[in-house]
Amino acid sequence: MTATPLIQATALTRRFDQRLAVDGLSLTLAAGRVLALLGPNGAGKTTTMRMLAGLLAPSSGTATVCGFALGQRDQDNDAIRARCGVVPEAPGFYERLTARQNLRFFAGLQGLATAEIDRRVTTELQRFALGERADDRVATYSKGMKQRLSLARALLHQPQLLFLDEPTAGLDPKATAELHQLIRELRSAGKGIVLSTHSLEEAEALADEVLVIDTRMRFLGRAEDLQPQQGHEVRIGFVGDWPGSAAWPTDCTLIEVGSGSARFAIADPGADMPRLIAALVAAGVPLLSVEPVRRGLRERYLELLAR
Amino acid sequence: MTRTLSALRWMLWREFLDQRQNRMLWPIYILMPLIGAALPALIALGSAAILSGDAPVKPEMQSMVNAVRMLAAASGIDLEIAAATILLRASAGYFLLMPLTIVSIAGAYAIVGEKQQRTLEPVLATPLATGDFLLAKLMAVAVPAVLMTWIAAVLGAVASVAAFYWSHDILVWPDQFYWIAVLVLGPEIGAMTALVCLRVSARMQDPQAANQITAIILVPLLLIVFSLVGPALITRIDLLLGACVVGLVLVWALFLWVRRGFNREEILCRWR
Repeated sequence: MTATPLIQATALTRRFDQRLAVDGLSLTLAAGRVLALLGPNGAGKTTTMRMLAGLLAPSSGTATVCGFALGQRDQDNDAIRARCGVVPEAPGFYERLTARQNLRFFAGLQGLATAEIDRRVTTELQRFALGERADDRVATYSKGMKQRLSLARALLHQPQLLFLDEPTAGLDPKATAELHQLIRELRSAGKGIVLSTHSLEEAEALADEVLVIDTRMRFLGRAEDLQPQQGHEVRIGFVGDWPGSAAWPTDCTLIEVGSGSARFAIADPGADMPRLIAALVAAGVPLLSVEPVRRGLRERYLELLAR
Repeated sequence: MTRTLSALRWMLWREFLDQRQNRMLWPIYILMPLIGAALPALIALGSAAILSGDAPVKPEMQSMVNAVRMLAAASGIDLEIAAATILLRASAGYFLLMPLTIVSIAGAYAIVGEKQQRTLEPVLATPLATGDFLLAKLMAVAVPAVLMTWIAAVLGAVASVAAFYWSHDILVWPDQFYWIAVLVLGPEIGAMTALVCLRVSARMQDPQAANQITAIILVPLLLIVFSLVGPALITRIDLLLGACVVGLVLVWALFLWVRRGFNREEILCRWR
């Protein structure tokens, strides 16, 4: 028996007056999975997240989120919001209040019992290493601290599903790595996670599934399926001059030659690389390095958007 | 119901903490009540000529003179005490303007604060119902203004009793006209202002400008209404009570109007 997916959306569409923001989105997300939303600015990523989190009603289409029908009744939307945690693009805190006061307020709005609130607030503040600064005003926090506080807020009510809207934007590499680790932990704990990002590498590193969107769905599938199935590249480092003319093995195509480096497209790395190296040596190319290039994620992404 | 009360409690707690730390609001919360507390006493001290009957009666004062005579005749009290009573009733007009002014200014900060701090999205991402959000915003803006008005009105009443006694040797207490205006009509005006403020804000890109527009709309409107019916409101209790009922109906109708047009999407998409 398969567990009910956390998200099951069919043909979700959202218009703002005459402007179409999201067109015909269909997707499914199970517990313990991470879905990355990729797309250019204005592609509808935030609108998609807001619809699925019960913040915006779809103009058409249907969706079930955490077992409740989206946009049908206020009670269902309230139930969805009670089961979702949202980390918006801008953290959004009451700057004159302390971190603890902010979290207490949001925990109260989530409907946590008074006795539970202090315990949950303290737990989350400690989890995100904010315990020592808990009673400082949020106005004194750095961007990274506010982002961590935003995550703490999203987890206060222990939601089943998390929406993270560009959570690593503006974070330093250490904070980004910590956040990635946290996302992996949450996934292991069975949370469903929808992650909006501009970073292909982040999507590749974290996501089980990827949705490329530019108003319309351009790709939805496993992250590894986003990789091009065909086409590999090899970067050749050399000293001296590149031979003016030489015969290269079949399936090895010279793409470009620059100062001290050249790029070849090859069909099958296992078979073609040794033949290419032999041909380069035979042509008298003074080799410095031969490096396979993992081509294509970016190109594939741009290709999907250009369709 | 429990959920609504809980949401209101947390929203009001947060607003209280936030407003307490907002020094931009202190002058309006201190200055207007101070003026309000002093006003009835200043009227008492400055009305010696009127109370003694020595002042020439200008045409625009005729209705008030008539009211004094009517009150004295109907209640069998001295003209001097009747004049003092009518003056106190009239001074309650300030306590109707006070919630309007405080709400339109404090409301601007309440909404602009949310906008500037980008706090609306996380608040609306909670299960807080739109009606509860609206009610909490309304109360957060109107309750402090009403409380300050009431405190000022009580202090003003005490000061005026002392001032009349000290300056004219008469003991005059603000009567039911004063208290009904302060305790019922004032909060209604505060609530109406807050609701219009919220509705206009939701329709505009700049909530601060929206609040200024609210004040520009409401202040002249209320001044016109009170200049037309004000004299009747300080002499006829049935009209005053009728005004309270009309005020209550208007508050309810405004709340429904605002509730109907004030949805999460509008807040999310326009208040950015």
